[in-house]
Amino acid sequence: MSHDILSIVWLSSYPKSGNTWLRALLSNYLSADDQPVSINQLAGGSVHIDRHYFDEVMGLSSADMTGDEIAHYRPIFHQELLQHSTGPQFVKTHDSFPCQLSGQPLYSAGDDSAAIYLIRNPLDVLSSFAHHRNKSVDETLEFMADRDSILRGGSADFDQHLGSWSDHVAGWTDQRCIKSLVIRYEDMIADTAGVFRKIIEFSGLDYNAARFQQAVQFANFKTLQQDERDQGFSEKQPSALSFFRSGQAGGWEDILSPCQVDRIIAHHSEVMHGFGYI
Amino acid sequence: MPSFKHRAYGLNFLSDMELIGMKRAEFDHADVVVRLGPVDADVERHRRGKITRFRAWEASNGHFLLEMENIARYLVIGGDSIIVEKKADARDQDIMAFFTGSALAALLQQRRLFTLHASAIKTSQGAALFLGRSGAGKSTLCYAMQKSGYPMVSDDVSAIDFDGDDAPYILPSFPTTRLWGNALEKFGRPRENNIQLRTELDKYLVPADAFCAEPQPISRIFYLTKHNHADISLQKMADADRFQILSRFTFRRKFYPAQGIGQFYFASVLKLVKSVAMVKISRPESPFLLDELVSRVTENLIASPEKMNLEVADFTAHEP
Repeated sequence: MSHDILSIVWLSSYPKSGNTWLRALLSNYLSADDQPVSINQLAGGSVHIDRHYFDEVMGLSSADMTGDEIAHYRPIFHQELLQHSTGPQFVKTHDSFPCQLSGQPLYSAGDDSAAIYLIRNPLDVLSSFAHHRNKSVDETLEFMADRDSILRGGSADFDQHLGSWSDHVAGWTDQRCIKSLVIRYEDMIADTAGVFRKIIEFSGLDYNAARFQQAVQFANFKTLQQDERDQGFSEKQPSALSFFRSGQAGGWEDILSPCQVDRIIAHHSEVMHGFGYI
Repeated sequence: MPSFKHRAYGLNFLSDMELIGMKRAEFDHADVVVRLGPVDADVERHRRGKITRFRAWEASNGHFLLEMENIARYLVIGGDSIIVEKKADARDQDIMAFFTGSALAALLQQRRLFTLHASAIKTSQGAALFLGRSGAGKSTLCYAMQKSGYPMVSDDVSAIDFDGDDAPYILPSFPTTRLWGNALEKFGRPRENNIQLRTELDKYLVPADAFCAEPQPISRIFYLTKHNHADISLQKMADADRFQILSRFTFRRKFYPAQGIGQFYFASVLKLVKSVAMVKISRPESPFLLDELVSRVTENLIASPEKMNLEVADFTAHEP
């Protein structure tokens, strides 16, 4: 599948589902350098939740706006991003679809944007997310089941509504407003080159074999881990030991208790079944 | 209609509405007139040349227009006039919340002043500015420095001019700091003693303990940012990084080219890069470490720039 020129390609996912890895692949593909792109300079940052950028584009200080006003203006800000992007611009998002905070879609329908939705086995998401949040597995399990869960943005970014893991996946994979490519994280691990080729084509990027090979090589998990050890990663939670933890599929078996596994399945069985996780 | 007289950024404002938070003044000659009324006819009359349009604002060589839905439209023309068209049921403090930000910045820019997203205090060497994005802690640090004996010069938006030798100086804004309720708690100051910025927000207009009303040369700029480490670090900034950060935190940077004065903005950034030492301060998101921050800034203010003995910041890392 290919498009005419896209303004924005949303890289959407529930947290800890491979979004940053995909950004590393894309960043290295877009780079002409013969060295790996630093993890602190990845393309695809979340400009759409950046309050400073919002303030400058909209000419309004979000810090002086009410929650309702921000919810009203955010979709308008997205339209401005679309209109002024020289594209394709990749933008990482964890917002649910539609956004429950505003009650209206955050994402404009149209031919000039698209979304790549990444989905990962919630058992692995749980293991990784608990580590990332520096919270217990049980607390994170409940967070993933809560339809009102919010990813707090602090003073720099807007909050993002996650909702439950199941609602997040269903919301993005059932929507028909934005052209989408749905990718399973496990398939990216099993066949990185094959899946990444699909993503390149879907995003409307020209295929270049040399850069493609280099991107797959540079964005491997060990390199990302080493990069984080060497220079730190600005997107890591202060309380977490590391951002790039294991990157494996199936690592949950060593971490979760049988009871925790049962509870995840009880909460998310329908969606897990739909994507072949049970 | 009643008229109100205020002074801010070295300018006398004669206004149909009270400019809440701005200093009252007495004068015979007004530099800026703020009028309440419809704006459409004046917008048409003042559009000049290319019009840049965003959803909430537009600008040309002759005008700047901002709209905040359900609150007001603000037309800024000629560097000496602001027309405010209130929406039905809009409250005065809501109108002021956006007046003192973007509308006032557009006016300062029309007067060829350089607007920086910074708060400032007066020191023995001149003004020290705290630069950074919203939420970086500019206002809180500025207020805490007042408690340590440094008079306030500006809050949130600093207006900068240059003398005949291109040396920068800051024009004092007005003696009010915008602080969130939780910041007020840190200072043991009750919310009730202050004007609320907007009814729905736990944010307040806090009178300055001491205010410097005279223009000040700029001696140093501290760039405030956050990192995911537990400590505070201070680092010198190289020229290229100073240029990048001053550009990024020019307040309402897009208004300059849209008003046909993009060259002025660019030249102002270059002049500041050439003449002012900059220090990058990184702190954790939480806890704020305010006391330590005040102490580190104070130590740094006492040292001369050459003796600061700081490492140079590595800007290859991601800057938020």
